[in-house]
Amino acid sequence: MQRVADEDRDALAEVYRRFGPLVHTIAVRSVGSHHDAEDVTQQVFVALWRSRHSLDPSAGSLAGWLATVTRRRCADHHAQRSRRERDERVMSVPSEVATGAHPEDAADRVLLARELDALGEPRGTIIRMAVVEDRRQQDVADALGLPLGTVKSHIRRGLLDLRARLEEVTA
Amino acid sequence: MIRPPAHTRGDVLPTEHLADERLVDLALDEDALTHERAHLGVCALCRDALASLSRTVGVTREASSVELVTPGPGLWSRIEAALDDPALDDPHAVDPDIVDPGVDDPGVDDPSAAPDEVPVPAALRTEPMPDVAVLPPAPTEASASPEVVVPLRTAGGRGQASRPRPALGWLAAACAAGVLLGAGGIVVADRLREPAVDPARTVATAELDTLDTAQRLGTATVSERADDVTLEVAARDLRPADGGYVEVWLINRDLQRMVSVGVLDEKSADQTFPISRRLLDEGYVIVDLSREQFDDKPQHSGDSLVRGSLTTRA
Repeated sequence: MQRVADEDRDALAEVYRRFGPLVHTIAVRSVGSHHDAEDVTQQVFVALWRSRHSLDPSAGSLAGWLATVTRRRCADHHAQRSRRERDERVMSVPSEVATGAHPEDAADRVLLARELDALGEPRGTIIRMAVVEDRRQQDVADALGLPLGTVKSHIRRGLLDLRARLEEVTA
Repeated sequence: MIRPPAHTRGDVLPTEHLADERLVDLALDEDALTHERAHLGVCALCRDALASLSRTVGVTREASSVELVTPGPGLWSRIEAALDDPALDDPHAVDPDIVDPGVDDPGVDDPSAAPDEVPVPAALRTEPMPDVAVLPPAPTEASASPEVVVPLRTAGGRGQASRPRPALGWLAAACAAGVLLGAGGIVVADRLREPAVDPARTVATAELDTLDTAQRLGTATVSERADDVTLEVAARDLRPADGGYVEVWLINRDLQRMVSVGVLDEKSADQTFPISRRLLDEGYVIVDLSREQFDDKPQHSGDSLVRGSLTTRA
């Protein structure tokens, strides 16, 4: 019995090590405070722990699941804060962290930032050149010395992967 | 390299869905051709696919400036403490309808509640577990509720006869192997009451219509299971002929190349043919069923019964 608990705990620790930055970055950019973001991050991993018996490795990525739960926790956090501000007439405190435009979309952006890093090479470089730097596909092929068909294929597979991940993040 | 029958050329292009590759071009930098614009004007499927790809391009551009932030060094021990605190193992916390919005979880914010070496309760599963889990809804479901509360799977695990297995054991194994955790890696389910036995994924589908009257006589489905890709063809009421047989082809979207996939048994409702993923990647996306005679001519007879373009499942 103890062994079972230990194994699960080790697995959770490993997931935290790998996905903690994903969850925490979404939270920081969404709630705008490191302290509040750590509360959200804690809630998300506690929620993962509570859900561990119902996780099933066949219907979406763990990253997508975590991003979705994080987005919802952040929305709860915003709702609670605005209730408190309304009830207690507390002045809104400016965010200590720049959240960027549309903090509610932080989950999408941060998830894709992580996925971009996980694309592997040469796909990651090709996607960065063609999508982020907005260079023409022929231009990317010339710069990398790759056939245009190869470049196009990487872009297509890469964007379809990114789209699939994005679609896992639900409101 | 065999040219398809000439009379089919005009039949395919005007109504054909835009291929993923073409949609990617349009989402990136290219202008739609006249016939593509016309198709997008009438086809919601292709419009939605283009919109979702354009959004992906936009979010990817924004994502490039995001630096991932690692949580502070003390957070993990606070999480561990929260896991071990029975007061926190509170189903209210996962049910937005029950939780009092004005009250924070007790102890979550309390730094004193974070001892490093709290023993793991041995009664991990003999103590009642909360009967709910937080899972996101299926991507296709619109849900007004911020989180969906679903019953936990109860089969096994808690009965006295069954031996407990680590719920996250598969995660641990995956982590140990250093696999699965990247893009397209570990997947998590929301279909709790269905056994997770069917990992086959539908990649693309085509509706098979007659070329002259556009009558729908069947469908073709490309599925992927692990590394195996199959083409399943279901067709009915195919125009009969004296003798001969029906052959299944994949035609390249350049309409210059085609490959034979196999011979269809007209008596069976549907049939599955193994194909190569590469064929699809290289643009062999038009499914064509032809009437062939036993004439020692391996090429397409030119007598197409039905045809349809594979489109990626949204």
